[in-house]
Amino acid sequence: MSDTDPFEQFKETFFTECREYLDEIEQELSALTPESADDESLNSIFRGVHSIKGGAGTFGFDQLIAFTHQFESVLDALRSHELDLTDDIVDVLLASSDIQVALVDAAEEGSEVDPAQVDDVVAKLSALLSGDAPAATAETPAEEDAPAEQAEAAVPDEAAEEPSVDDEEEEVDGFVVVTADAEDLGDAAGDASGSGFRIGFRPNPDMFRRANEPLLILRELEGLGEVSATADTSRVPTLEELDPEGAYLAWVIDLESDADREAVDEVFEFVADDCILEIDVLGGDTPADAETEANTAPAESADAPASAIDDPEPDEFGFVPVKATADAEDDAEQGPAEAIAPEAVASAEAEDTAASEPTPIEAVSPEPAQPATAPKEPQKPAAKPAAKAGSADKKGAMSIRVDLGKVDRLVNMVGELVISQAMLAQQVTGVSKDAAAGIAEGLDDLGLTVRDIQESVMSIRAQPVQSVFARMSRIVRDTARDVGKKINMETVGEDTEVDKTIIEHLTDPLTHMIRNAIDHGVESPEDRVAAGKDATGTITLSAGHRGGRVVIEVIDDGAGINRERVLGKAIEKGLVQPEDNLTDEEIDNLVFAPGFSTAEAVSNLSGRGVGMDVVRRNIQDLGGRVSISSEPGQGSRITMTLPLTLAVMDGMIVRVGSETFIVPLTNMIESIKPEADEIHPLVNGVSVLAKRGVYTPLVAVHELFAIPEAAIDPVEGLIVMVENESGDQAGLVVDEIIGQQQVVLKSLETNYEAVGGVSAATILGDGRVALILDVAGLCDIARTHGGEVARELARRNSEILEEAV
Amino acid sequence: MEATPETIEQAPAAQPAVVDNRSEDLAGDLREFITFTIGDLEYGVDIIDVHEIKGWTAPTRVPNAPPYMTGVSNLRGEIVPNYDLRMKFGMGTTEPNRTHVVVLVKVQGRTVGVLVDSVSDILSVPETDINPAPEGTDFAAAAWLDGLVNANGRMVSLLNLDALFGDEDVPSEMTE
Repeated sequence: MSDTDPFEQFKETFFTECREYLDEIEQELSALTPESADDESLNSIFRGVHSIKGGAGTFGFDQLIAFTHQFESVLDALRSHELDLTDDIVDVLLASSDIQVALVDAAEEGSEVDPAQVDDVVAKLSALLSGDAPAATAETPAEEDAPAEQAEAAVPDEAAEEPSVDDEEEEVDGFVVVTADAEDLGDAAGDASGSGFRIGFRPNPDMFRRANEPLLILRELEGLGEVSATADTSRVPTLEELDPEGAYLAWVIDLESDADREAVDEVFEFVADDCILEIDVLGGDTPADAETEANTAPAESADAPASAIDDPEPDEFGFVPVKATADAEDDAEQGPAEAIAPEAVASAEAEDTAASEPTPIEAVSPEPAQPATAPKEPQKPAAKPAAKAGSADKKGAMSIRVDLGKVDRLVNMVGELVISQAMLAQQVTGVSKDAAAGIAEGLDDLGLTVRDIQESVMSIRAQPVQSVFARMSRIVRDTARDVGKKINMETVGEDTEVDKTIIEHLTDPLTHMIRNAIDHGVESPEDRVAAGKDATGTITLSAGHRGGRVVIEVIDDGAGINRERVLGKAIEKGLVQPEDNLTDEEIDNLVFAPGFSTAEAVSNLSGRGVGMDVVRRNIQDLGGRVSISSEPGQGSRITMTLPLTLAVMDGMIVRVGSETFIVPLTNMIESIKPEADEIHPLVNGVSVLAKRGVYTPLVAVHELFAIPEAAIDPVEGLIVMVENESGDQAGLVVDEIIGQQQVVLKSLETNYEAVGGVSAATILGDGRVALILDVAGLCDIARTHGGEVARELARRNSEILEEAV
Repeated sequence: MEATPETIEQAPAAQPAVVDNRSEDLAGDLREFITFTIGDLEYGVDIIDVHEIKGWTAPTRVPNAPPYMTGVSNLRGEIVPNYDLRMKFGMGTTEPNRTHVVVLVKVQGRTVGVLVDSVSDILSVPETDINPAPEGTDFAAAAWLDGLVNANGRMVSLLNLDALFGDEDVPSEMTE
């Protein structure tokens, strides 16, 4: 197996897909409560687990297969309502999901998960199953993919006829492989045993030569629903006659899906000319019958809810699709029959029936009859548009998988384009007016287009914050349980899109903030009731765009920050002086000060060993800012402001002598034109700025960087006040501020090396390189100076004392 | 320099012949070098390592870099350091203008710009004609050279880019 082994590539794809399934499962599970549980979310979890199992089967990850099988069985029992969802079961499901993640990780690394851990959860899963209807422990492979199983669960009567898939069966990675004779093929196609579609698919021998691949088709079908395929191997010649590039197999495929006929046609779109294809919509009746039945069914069954069940055609039930969707509406929650209602049940139709018929149960009973669309004539105008509408938002979103590296290259190139455009625009200003007018106009247009392109490209990297928010609901759940509080999480604006890298780095700080909010922010249920609040606390996570940045807030309705205690602790730790007159806002934000929070819970917002200063550092690493505000008794609000992307940064362009630097806007506090009496020179040419009673050490950039012809006296220039992550402040002495600009970050280390006091470089409108100042580094220097300042002051004081003596 | 056109023309013709006919025991693969001048001296770098050749533009000074690192410039969005080879060799300072040339070379996966007076030639030399650089303590720069070539009477010093610009000996600490 070389590294170009296609099998390895498939594996890679499998793991990528696994991650997506795992995320989806986690999201759905996190939101799952016995009250909110609907069939669609259970189905979606089931589908995810099932797909992982299928893939695991292909690659022979035994531990994963065994586990997902058990997991799947429980989910299956849940979605067929043999098992009722309880909080305990949700816990087991969450634990199972964790194990599943661990197993996938292990499979990817080629290792194994501690079997004891797995067995523990498997035991819990088995316990769930054994405690309930034995049918739920559907262990035989045949039932696995047999929709009849659900039908059985749903309709306890005669309908539960095992779908007799011919001959010997063996289960291979989610497909049921059956060897069947060619003659059976036609019969099998007619012998409908599933729901959705029965597809007879016989590729022409030259299909491979036309660059088509039946496997991909089968895979694609799997995307529509559950597939069980029966292979017809009768055409396979003996080895001597076998053309390695010939296609000899044919399949009868049962697709259990709520997709409409068009979606299925689409799968075969490119091979339609290269094969013999027969797609039957499963309904089991002759076209004529189906027509009449479909027309009369609603009325009929409305009169007698049981009529569908009494229907003499047992096949009818074999076809009942398993995937209920939201379209089945609230009715869907009542009886088993609706739970398995096909999406094809137009919500409109359901409503119609409900409206025209007096009893609510009837609204659901037409559904079994609904899939009776003619096998050969699937065009049923009434059912189709609704089916489409139902599935469109579910799986309809078109997307492609693109290597992140490619996107990043594109982002870079567009960055160059922006710079080139700016350069041209700048040069045009030097051209004579007449000639320039036309060019300038064209350049303006170009500029607009370029910016549009840039935005579009950036949006490719962007993802909705939903993925992180969904993870948080799990954190809320777990933490609330740990501390014995009742918390309800609400999210606002989870569709807000942010750069992928930022999303990836949001989880830790958000987790931390939420834990803090639950642990220390929200009061115990008793205290809440005593305070006249709802016993259940609310944590709101909100996201939104504001002024080209993303604002994410964590809001709790707890007790707010206990300012007295925070201030007391801060004074005790020497972070502030007792005589400092701090505003409420300043006190609140002390919780972010390094060294404030420690392992011991001191304030409403600290604890858990890691301080909020870490949160702040994480956010600042992302080029963002974080602040907190709180209202005693009403709760706290932590606000994070983040850039949309890490590739671009807001910067202030400053000039020092003949050189240009960028100061990151996130670090900048203000700029000051100092008065002569505010500058106090100290030792070694170091000065401090005295402003509003605060001494701030000055950093002479020209001196540090040995730049000639710069303003040596700060009074002649400007002081840019900056602050680093830990709150240290310094005043950078510069000649002037040129303006504010978004800059594209470029690494100096790619071709050179790290430079002290410089974090990165960028390219300005004129094509020249400008260096971006590393404020933290400069503050370090200033802090050293600050030490000198303190020593110098102490020395002078002692001199004065000596003189006095 | 009269020999220049000849050398260039010979290169393509000679190459296949060399590859096809020379027996292995002669160990004479043909190598090609771009040569450039600093003052009266001529230097060469392997053509494989040369990324491109650009006219000089003023780079952006980088604080606390060694004097021969004259700054960084923008190569289509990449930040590339520029080195004044004359200064690196201790032969004074180049006062660059628009006639000066920056040879962009690849060194250990990085791109660096080498400021020279002008590019003169492409030289095709059989491996066997490359003489080793002189060794000895009195010739400290020997480590920077890969060898010497006599090209029609001119001596061309072949540069060892790895030694020159590879593991940088630039002090990166702030002088403050």
